[in-house]
Amino acid sequence: MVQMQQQQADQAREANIERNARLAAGTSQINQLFQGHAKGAHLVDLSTLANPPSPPAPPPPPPGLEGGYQAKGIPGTSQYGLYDPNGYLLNTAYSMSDLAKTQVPVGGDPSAGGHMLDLSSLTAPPPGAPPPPPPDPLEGYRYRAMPDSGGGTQYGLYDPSGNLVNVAGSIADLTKTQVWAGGDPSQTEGGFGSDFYDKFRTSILNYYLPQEDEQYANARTGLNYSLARAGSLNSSIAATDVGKLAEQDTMNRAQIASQADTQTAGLRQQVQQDQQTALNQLYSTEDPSVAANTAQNMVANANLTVPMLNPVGALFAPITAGVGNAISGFTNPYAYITGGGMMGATPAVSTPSGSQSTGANVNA
Amino acid sequence: MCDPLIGGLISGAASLVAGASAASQQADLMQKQNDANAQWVAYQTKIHQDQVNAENQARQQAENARQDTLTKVGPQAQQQAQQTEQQRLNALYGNPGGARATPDAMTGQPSSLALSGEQTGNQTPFAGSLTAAVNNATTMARGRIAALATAGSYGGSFGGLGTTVPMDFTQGGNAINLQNAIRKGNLSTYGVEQQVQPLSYAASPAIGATQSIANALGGIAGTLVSSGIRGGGGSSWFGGGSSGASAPSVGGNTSSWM
Repeated sequence: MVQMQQQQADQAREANIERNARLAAGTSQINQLFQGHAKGAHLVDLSTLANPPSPPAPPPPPPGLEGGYQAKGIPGTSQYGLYDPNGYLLNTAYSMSDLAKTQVPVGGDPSAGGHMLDLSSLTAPPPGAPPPPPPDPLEGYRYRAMPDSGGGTQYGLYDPSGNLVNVAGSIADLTKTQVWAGGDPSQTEGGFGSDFYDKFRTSILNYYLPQEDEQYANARTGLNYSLARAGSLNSSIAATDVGKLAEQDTMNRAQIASQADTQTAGLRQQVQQDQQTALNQLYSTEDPSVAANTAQNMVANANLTVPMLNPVGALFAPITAGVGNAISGFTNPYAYITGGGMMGATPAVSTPSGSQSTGANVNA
Repeated sequence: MCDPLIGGLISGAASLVAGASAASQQADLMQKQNDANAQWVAYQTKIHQDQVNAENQARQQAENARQDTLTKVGPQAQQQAQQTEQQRLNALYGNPGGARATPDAMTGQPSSLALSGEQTGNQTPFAGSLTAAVNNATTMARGRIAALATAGSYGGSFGGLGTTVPMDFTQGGNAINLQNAIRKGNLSTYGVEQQVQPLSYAASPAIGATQSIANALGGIAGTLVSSGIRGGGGSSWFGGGSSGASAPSVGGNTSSWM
C-alpha cells in the first residue's frame, strides 16, 4: 500500500514536471509568435530527432613534432598548447591551425642549421584519421523517454545543457517544437513588428489623405473663384482666407493621422488580446501544440483585420460657403442700406471676417 | 519420576530462552518500525524542503515580473514614454505622408500658397499680407498639432500611455500567471506526496506465541519450584503422587502435557 502511495506520488511529481515543461514551452512559443524572436536567430531543425547522429569519434592523438615538441589540448580548457621538450608551455590557441602559426626557432643560428619549427603537421589531418564529423543538425538537442508519470510514455526534449525544453507523447510531436537558437537577444524580429502596424496605418492614410487633398484643392479653387469674382484676390482678406485654408488643411491632415494612429493602437490591443486568448487556452489545455494552433489562427485573424474606412466628410465646405456668403454680401445692395453703410459691420450678412470665424468653428 | 525442583528449573530456563527470543523479535520489530518512521520523516522533510524551494523560486520569478512591470509603469518611465510618443505624434501629425507629405502651411513657402491671379511679387502689399497670414496659420497649426500630439501621447495613440501601460500590466500579469500555474501544480503534487504514509510493521502471531510459551513455562517453573521446595523431594507431580500439588492451570489439560 505504501509502495503504491509512493509510486503515485512519484508519478504525480513527474507529471507536474512534464506539465511545467509544456507550460513553459507553450508560453515561449506564443510569446515568440506574437512578439518575435532574437534577431538573426534560426529554427533548430528537429526533423532528425528520432535518429540523432552518433557521437563523434574521439579526436586523433596529437601529431608528433620534431625535437620532442608537443602540441596537445590543455586539460580543463578548450584550448591547445604548444610545449617545448622540457614541458614548458610556449603558446596557446583555440585551434591547432592557429597553433601552427607559432614561430619557434630551433637549432640556433640559421647559419648553423637553425630553422623554424615545422608545425605544418598540426593543420593536416594525421594519416588514417577519420574525416571530421558533419555538423550536428540537432545542435545538441536530444530526446529522452521521461520517467513514468502514470500514463503513456512521454518524451522530453533536452537542450545541450540538459534542461528540459518540452514534453510530448511521441517523438513526432516533439519534432514540432519550435526552438530558436542564436541571434541577438537584445533585438527582436518577426512577430507583430512595427512594419506590420506601419502598413496598417499607411493604408488608412492612403485612403483618407487623397480625399483630403482633393477637397483642399477644390476649396482653394472655390476660394480663388469667389475672390476673383469679388475682385478681392489681392486683398488682405484673401491672404487671411488662404492662410486659414492652409491651417485647416494642416489640421485636417493631422486629424486623419491621429485617427489612423488610434486605429493602429486598436489593432495593437487586439493583437495583445489574441495573445492573451492563446495563453488562456494554453493554461486550459496545458498542451502547447493546441495553443500554438490557436496562436496561429489568431495571427491569421489579426492579419485579416481591416481598418474602418468611411468616406471622409466635407472638410472645407464651410470656408467656401463663408466666402460665398461674403460675395453675396458684397453683391447685395440691401446690405449697404440696412447695414448702415459699413461693409463688414452688418449683422445680417456674412463678411470676409465672418468667413474666418466660420472656418474657426469648423476647426473646433 | 522427576524432581519437581529440577523440572521447575528446566521450565524456568526454557521460559527465559523463549522470553529472550520473543524480546529479540519485538526489539527487531521496533527497530524496523523506527527505521521506517525515520525514513518517512526524512521523505516528508525532503518533499517539504523541495516544495519550499520550488515555491520560493516561483514566487521570486513572479516577484521579478511584478517589479519589472512596476518599473515600466513608474512615473519616470511613463514620463519618458509620454515624451517619446509626443515627439513621434508631433512628427506624424505634421507630416502624415501620402502624395503631399507635408501640408502646405508647414512648407515654409507662403508664396507657393498664392491663388492664381494673386500678385506675389516681393514688393506687393498682398505678398506681405499672404506671408503674414500663412506664417500665422503655420504657427497656429503647429501649436494645435503639438497640443493634439500631447493629448494623444497620454491616451490611446499607438504608443500612448493609454495603450502601453495596460499592455505592460498584461505582460507582467502573464509572467506572474505562469509562475502561479507552476506553483499551483507544485502545491498539488506536494499534497499527493504528503499522503504517503510511513511503513507500518505489525507483530506477527509467532512473536505472541513465543511470548505465551515463555509465560506458560515461567508459570510452570514457578509452580514446580515451589512444589519441589514444599515437598522436600517426596512424591512429585511428575510422579503422579498425591502431594496435593495442583496442576498448573496454564497449558490446558496438564495431565497430558508431558
